Amino acid sequence: MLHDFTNLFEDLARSFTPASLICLLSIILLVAPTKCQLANQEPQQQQQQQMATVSDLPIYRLHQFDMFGSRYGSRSAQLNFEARTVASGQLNRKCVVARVQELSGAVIKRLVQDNVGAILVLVPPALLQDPTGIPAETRAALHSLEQDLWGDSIPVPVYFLAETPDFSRVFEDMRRIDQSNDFNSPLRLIANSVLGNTYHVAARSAQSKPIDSLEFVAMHGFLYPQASSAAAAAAGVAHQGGSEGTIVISAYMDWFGSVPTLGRGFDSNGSGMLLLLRLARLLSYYYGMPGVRPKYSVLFLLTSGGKLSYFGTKRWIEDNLESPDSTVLARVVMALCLDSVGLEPAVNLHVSKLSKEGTLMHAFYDRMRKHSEKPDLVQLRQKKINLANEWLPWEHERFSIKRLPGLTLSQCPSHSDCSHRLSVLDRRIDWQQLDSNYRTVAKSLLDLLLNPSTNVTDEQMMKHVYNDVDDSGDPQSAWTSYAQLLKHDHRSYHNLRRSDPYVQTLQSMLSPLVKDYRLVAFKPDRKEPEVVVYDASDSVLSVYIVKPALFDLFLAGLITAYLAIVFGFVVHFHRIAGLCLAPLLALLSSGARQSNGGKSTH
Amino acid sequence: MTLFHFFNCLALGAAPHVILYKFSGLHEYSALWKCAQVAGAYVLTQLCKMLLLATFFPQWTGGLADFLRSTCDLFDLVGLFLVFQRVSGKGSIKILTVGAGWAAAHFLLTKVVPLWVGASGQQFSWAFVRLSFESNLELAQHLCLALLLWLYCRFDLSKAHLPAVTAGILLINYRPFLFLSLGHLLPPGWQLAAHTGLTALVGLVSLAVYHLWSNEVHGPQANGKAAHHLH
Repeated sequence: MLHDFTNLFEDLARSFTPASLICLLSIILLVAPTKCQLANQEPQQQQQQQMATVSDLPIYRLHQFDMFGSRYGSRSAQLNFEARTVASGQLNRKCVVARVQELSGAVIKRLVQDNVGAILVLVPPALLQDPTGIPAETRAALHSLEQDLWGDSIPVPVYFLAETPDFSRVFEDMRRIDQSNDFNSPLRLIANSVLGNTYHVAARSAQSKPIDSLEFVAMHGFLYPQASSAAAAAAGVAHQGGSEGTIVISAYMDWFGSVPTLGRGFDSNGSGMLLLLRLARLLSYYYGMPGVRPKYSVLFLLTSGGKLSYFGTKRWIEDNLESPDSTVLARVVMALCLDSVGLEPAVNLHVSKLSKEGTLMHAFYDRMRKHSEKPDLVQLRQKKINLANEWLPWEHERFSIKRLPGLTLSQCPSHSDCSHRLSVLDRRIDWQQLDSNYRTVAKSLLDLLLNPSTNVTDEQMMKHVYNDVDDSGDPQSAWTSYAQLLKHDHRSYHNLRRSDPYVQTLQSMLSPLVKDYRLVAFKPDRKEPEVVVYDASDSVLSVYIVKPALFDLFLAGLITAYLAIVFGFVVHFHRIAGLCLAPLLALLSSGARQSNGGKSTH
Repeated sequence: MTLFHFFNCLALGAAPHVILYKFSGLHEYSALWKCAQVAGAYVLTQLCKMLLLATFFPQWTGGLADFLRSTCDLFDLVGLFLVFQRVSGKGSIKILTVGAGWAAAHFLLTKVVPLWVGASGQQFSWAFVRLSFESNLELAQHLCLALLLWLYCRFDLSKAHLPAVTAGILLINYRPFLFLSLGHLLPPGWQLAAHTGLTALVGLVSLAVYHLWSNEVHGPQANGKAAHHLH
């Protein structure tokens, strides 16, 4: 046959007749199936389109970062394994697919010891819309799983998947397969190991790498009391002249928790950020009013890096303290940090050192008691700063470490009691409560800032608190435009940079309201970074049905046997044809004889 | 090992063509170049058929449109007829050459790409093994088609055999349409068996007609030689 082929090519090469040229061209043109054949084979084509059982499911990876030299989270990202359920016996180098209720910290430790390849956690799809739709046990299970996973380093990839009905079917099928593999009959086991279907999960993700362009932003702006006389303003006196100091109002804008791309952090710290923006709007209105002379300047500070022990705030403070020509922090008399004020009354004022009577902090505390709806619950919570622990519980400690008086306003009585801060379940804000907290803080601040002789009555103050809404007084509508900020995609460090649309939007909201606006971006140290965050935080999953490797060999054996039969058929064709045709021809000839006989008689 | 699966299916589909070529007498006649020419004629025929379809047949859907499109497949017979005139050789060798070349081109152009795209993917599906097996059946069908067409064009074919020959040709041509429209009547696993049965039936009928014709033309004693040539 090789000889024939060489002859063939020689002929082609020698005789370039038009016919052979056309043949060649046509072959080059027509590599795809022709149209007519396509029409006849449509069902098969449709099957070929469907290359996976379920495909293009978004999956979200567990956090992975290094901080202060320790490694946290899932250290690997590649997912290309056979799927098993938790109950299955052989888990070596397989991906365990399990619902939240079936997993816990202890179970995951056991799985890792069993040398599992990856873990895929199924979360209820309601998580993405409204977590209150999830039953309480599932929520509790998810929460405890998150807490178990935070703070540990897990060598295998851990992904979270919202369980669609399609995937539920696949999951039930996986369960059924695993149960059928527990059969006692050895014949069934062998048959299963050759012919059985298994599921294979694969995600389009490469090895996770540190994010090179990791950035933490800090934006700040001032509100100064107007100069007491035009002469002073013309003389270009430093703006702080006339004010008794600067009050810093600070909030962090990011969220980073157990699953960075799945969580949204609406309450912690979306609520604090929204509260800061509303206060900025209110106070900028006041500071622009003629005849109003507040006692203090206000500095608004929005930072990122809040969930990583307030890294942005830390760098901002150090940056401003170190530079000798910066007078930003020169006259800070109080730093008010806002953290988680969206679900419950913000009645906890966390401080590092109890303030004495007569200090500004105590004055603020008194005002809060006066204006709060639940004055008995307003409390000062004192917690000494633990310098040995790198993870600071509240933001005011960053200020307190540098001897700047600070307090954090929060709904949580203690940082360990504020369990939803790192949870993906934090997807809800009580707008009524946020509005009530805003009113309390606004009134307290205005009371603190304005001289008693400013002729602003209580009713006027209340009106100004709502100066930017219609008269409906509906708290929801007042916050609608701010709420759009929370609809942004995940606000974790994977994309939170100076150029990010979310940061740009915040900038466009804050900078018109304040003076001397500035945005700074901080990068971790090049040589010895304090924080390293890894990418590959989300991916796309496909599930395939595969047969074991032995099956291919088995099929090859079958095909060889079939081809042997075909070979025998072709070689002995005339004998076989004769055998088959004999009865048929006998039938035909008898029929012909009968008809002939019939004809002859007529 | 899904590449292995691709090679499995390819072997299942292509090996019978190779076996046919090597062991049915074509190899002794060194008919490879002639088979290649027939394959080229197949390609040309498909091109013209595509042009015809695109020009004259509107984009309807439904049973009637499928029937019309299958009718357009009769154009294949025109191509086969022209090929028969160009290929030289004795009766049975001519039939074998044309049939083998036509079937090989059909397999290469319609089956190899779906197999490559599908069988070497991650997901396993029985559809590709079935595709390869059906290409075997189509090999037999193309051989029968060549035989029946050749008989149809003979002036010495008796009138009694004409209906059988015509019926065979039409059955082979409209087989896809038949299965498309009536396939849902069968229980799901049985389409392949029905296809095999149909092919076997057509093969038997065409062989019977050929045998009878050769009896009539060459006489009973030449049966052995004709059958031997048909091999």
